[in-house]
Amino acid sequence: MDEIDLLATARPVTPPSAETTAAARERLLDLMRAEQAATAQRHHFRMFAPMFPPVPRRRLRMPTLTDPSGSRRRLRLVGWGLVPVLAAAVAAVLALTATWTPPDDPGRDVDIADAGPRPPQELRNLLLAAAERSSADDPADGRYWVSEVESGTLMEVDRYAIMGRTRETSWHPNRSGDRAVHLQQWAGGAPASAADRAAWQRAGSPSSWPKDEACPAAGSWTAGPGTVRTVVGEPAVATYPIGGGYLTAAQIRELPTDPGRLQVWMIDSLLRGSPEMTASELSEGIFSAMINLLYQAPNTPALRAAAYRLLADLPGLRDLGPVTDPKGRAGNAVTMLTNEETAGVRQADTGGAREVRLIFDPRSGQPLAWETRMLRPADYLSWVPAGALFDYEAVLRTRWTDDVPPPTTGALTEGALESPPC
Amino acid sequence: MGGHTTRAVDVADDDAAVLLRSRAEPECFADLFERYFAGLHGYASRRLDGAGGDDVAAETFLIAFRQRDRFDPARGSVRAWLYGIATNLIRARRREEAQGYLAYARAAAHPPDEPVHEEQTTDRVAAEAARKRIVAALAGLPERDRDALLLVVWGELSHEETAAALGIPVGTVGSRLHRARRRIRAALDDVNPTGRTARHG
Repeated sequence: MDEIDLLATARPVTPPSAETTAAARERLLDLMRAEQAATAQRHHFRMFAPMFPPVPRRRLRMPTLTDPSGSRRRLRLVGWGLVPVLAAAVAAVLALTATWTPPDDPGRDVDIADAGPRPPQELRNLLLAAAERSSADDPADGRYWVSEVESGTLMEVDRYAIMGRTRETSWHPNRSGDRAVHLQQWAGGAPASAADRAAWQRAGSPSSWPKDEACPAAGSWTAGPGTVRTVVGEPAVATYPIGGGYLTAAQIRELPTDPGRLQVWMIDSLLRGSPEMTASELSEGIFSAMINLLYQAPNTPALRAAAYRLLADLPGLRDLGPVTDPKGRAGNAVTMLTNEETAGVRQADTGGAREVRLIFDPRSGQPLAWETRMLRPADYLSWVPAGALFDYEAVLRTRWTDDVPPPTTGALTEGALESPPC
Repeated sequence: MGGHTTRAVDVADDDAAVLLRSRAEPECFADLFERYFAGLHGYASRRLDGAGGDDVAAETFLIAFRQRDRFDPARGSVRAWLYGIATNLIRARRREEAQGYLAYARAAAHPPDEPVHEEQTTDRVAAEAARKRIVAALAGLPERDRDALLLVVWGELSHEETAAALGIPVGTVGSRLHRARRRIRAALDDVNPTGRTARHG
């Protein structure tokens, strides 16, 4: 060994602990929040999951959005003081109030077939069958699109984990003069696994858990459900994240219903924001976009069918067969490995590889839920047991309606930035 | 390290795009934290152990975020820029840094409860003693030479990136590295006069 080798191996250090990383992230977040607060007044916000504990949500890639004139648009966020993994939080809470024109220029020459082999025939058949059965079941139009969703996130409390659940019913306006209304409720928490239950019992079976040990004012997570709170938005047509941008319900209806053209559209949309995405990244990005389209936006039967057909050819997709979703409903799952440190996939976050499951009813083609499992938890997620269900979103009901939303007297405004209690 | 591969160039371009985008969309900056915090923390805490390294790593991102309007992609990668900021912060704590190196050199070669196989003992003890001499010698290096050396060896920056981080020409990096190596080599030869350790290259 020469002096450089000796120096290179001298005074080794261990990677930063989850606490150190979280503390540094929090300091940066505080600074960003302060800047954000200084310029927030004029902008519209949307609280997506503000009741969630400080754990990351699914990381979506968030390419730049450009409007038709080509100028950059500012993205705004809210409620993110509660969600420390910045990139993930940002993806989850961002929304635009303006509209965005689908891309029409051809994308760079990237072939997502380079990302790997197509799914096996059996899986393709399953998805194609789901596509066939995506029947016409609603008019896909009305004054509001109403979605009822239950979300769950694994939370570390004391020395064990609980699954914390929230429910949200959202009225998404389809007219520019109407306001979004969100009814949000903590739906309760419980020890996640048998081991967590045993640890919980050793801890005296508490019925609530402080949100932040160092800050009693932050309150507690409770075993039982909380009260419903209402959040109301500024008057604007709702937009939904799809691929690399945000679309109104009307724009979503105009998406191609041919799976090949839908895929080209998604690739264009993703590349427009991140021109250097590789085939593997695009494959993951399209998978994410299909989750957006199937589970988080007002789609149509024809679009659902196109989404299933597109997935049937998507490299990297695997079949998990029959499963039950987090609400106990029977369905079939397909899955994709994401956030893995592999060649061709950059900017993986440090939490480790995870599996994203997409669960649907193969008989009706109805999307049921998507969930994330940590396969190799690392860094800030190293407390998560390998293979554990980490978070999920179950669609309970969606519908179009001309009804008026519930009263909003005393409701919180979407624009309000919550200041941390400590 | 692969500082010259296409992939590294792609990553650098992407970093710069994210940084430029964060000027209008501040939240994008979070991506850079996720990409570089762990690596930067490693570099900072090898130079300043414990809370000092934690602070420098965290403060680097605060400064970078505040100064994101000043980043010039023509003058180097985002990564180099971040390591340059960290290096400046470390420089402000140079006494603490030097004391840490001397404390490391004084510490036991291995924890007393760590078993050492008999046949490995001699080589391991010799290597450990050599490392301690080298780290102790870091305390005595001129700051500018030390920064260049540690950005390359502990920060794993290329010479080009080190030049960008320190705002000096690449040729100057070379001469500083050469000087620093000669100094730590001399410290090594003091403890190992028979020259049993191989020369580099």
